[in-house]
Amino acid sequence: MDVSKKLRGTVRIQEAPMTDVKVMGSQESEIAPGVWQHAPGVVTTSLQTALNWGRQNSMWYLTFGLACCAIEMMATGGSRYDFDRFGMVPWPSPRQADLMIVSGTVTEKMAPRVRTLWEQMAEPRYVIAMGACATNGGPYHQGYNVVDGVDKVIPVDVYVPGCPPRPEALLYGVVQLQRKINVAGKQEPEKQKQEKVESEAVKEDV
Amino acid sequence: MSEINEKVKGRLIEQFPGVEVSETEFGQVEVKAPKEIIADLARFVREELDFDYLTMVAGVDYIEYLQLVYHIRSLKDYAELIIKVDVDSENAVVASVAPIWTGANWHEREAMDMFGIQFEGHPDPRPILLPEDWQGGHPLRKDFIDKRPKRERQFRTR
Amino acid sequence: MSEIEARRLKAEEVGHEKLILNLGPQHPSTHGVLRVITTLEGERITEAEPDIGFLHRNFEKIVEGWTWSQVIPLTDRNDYLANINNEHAYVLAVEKLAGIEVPERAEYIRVIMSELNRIASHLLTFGTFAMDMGAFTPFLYGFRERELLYDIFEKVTGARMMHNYVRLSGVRNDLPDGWDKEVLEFLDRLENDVIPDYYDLLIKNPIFEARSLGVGVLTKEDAIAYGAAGPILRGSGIDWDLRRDMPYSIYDRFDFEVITREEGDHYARFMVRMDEMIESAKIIRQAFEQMPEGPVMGKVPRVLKPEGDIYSAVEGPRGEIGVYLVGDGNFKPYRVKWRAPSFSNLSILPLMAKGQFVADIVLTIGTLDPIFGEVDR
Ligand code: SF4
Repeated sequence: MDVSKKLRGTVRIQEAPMTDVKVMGSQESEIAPGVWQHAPGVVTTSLQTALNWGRQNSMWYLTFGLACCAIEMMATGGSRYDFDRFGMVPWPSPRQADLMIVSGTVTEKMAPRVRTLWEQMAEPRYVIAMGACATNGGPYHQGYNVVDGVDKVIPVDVYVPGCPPRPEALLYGVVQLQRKINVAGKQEPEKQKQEKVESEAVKEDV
Repeated sequence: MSEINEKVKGRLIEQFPGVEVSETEFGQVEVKAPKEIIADLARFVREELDFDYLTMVAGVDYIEYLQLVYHIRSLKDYAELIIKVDVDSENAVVASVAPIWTGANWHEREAMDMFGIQFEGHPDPRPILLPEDWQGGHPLRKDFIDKRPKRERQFRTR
Repeated sequence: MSEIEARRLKAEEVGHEKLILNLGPQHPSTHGVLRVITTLEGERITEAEPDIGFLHRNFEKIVEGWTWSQVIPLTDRNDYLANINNEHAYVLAVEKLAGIEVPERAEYIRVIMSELNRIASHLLTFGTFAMDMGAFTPFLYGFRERELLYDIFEKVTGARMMHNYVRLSGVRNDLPDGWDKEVLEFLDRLENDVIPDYYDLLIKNPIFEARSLGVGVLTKEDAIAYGAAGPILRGSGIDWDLRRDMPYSIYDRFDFEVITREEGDHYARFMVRMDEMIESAKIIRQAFEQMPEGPVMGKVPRVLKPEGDIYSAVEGPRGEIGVYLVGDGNFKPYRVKWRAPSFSNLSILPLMAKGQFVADIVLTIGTLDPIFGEVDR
């Protein structure tokens, strides 16, 4: 495999399900699940885990303020709350951005533009709906020109409630998104799969 | 303040015998004028009485008729003037005051969007707040109904 | 004739092509959702045409279905940097229309909160204007002080931005104990440390001066003709401030200066804002000294059914916030018209941008300081 040849060194990347990576005597790292340590300085992990790890820790968000919530987004990026701790950098162009924080009311006039911006972003892309307006129209949901929630225009990953959400709430939403990214594309562990099958069987019995 | 109001009222009645001039309880002179003379009235008020600062043009829908409310200040005399003009709902055409107060331009475009009032002699009559392809009618009229189709929620596909 | 010169002459013969450039609606420096369609000739703008309405949230239509006091939280969101000033404007209009009395202490609290909000708003404008110029650090400095102000607001109203604090006939709750000391401390810090810091950091910077002095000049006549408001009017040398010239609430009891500058360029408008912060601090100090004890809520009739119409205005951070109300003897307003200062201010953009460099239009938008919640409503 090309990738593993290039990256051979202390971190060896294999494209294989996590469960196959286990080698006799190796153990899973406590701080980084999915990373297996074989000997001091030698770890292996699956490609997906490595990618997720990279994605989750450098989300560049589009500087895209729509309404009042944008001020709280700026405050979160500002001095006290400091988005940079999470590896989040404001980025003016959608082409290089990973995350779009829809901070404010989406109107009929703006909706096609939001869609275009989202389409210009490269995969994998994530969307956070910040505030009541982006979630479902908020205080303006009765308006004749207001789209009731940005999820009518683009798919949303995380909703952050509030009008406006406090910076702490937005940070929590970002952490939730990181967790979501972390489990993306991984095989479901056998145990959970079995439980699911069982629970479905129970449903059928009833 | 009231001296100036008296002076303004006197001049207005002298110049335009037909109009109703009164003073509100908040110290503003109020003029009810027929829509034919609005351009002359505006020019007179601007040039002779020094009302130079137009703050807003508001439309109101009174169902039988529409009303345009102009609020104008005089920065020199600290006076306020309100002009009210009734416009027909069906055939809403009125002379524009944008050539007299440049700032009226956007306010009139807004009234055009919201109430469907046409302004004769407006330098740039295009919609301003509503989307370019808006078909829904004039939103601030009382008989406006929101007829947009319902949108479906989008889901992530990958 | 050298070859380069020959080429240059040839290029001039051919003439410049016209180029149409779209700024926005998602543009890092348009302060929200503004789109400007600019026609360029070389680097000069021959025509700039703002396209607004991307945040048209139908405030005026929605409130026609709500009761008089339900409207107050929505006014917060019109100009979302001057929340208390907006509430004050609306509440004042309803009070005048319905003839409601306001207790003395509540008036003082309103004035203090309004002036604090003005400081908060100007701090943000300071930061974003510097960011438009390419300096990111002042933005962080502006937010450092704004966070302190947020804390101060939070202690009284419970919210950082959307306060919903001013009520018909008063304010929601009294000030907490010891709050005035905190505010005075903040003001001392603002006057003695923060603003001198800002001068060292940004205003004395030669690049800042080169980019703002003499750029984007707005003449007196144009400012009046377009109905410009607030710092833009005063930056063009017109001595007009509603707080002094047509006093509302209790502003006639304070001694403060109206800051004006003659030049009418970016620098003048920027400096008017900087100096206004100090004047606001003066007003707050006087208000704390004069403030009487007493209730903060007066009596409101249980069913509010005012009749008639009224135009009333207050001086917000961006200029005259006017409210035109029509009541038809019902518990709902018949018509609410919001006269937004940013709306009038932004309409000057085509005039100011004409003949400018394309890099300067960003600064022009920055000094006009439009807030789109209020432009589009
Ligand atoms: S949720 Fe509230 S604060 Fe956020 S954009 Fe909507 S109205 Fe403004």
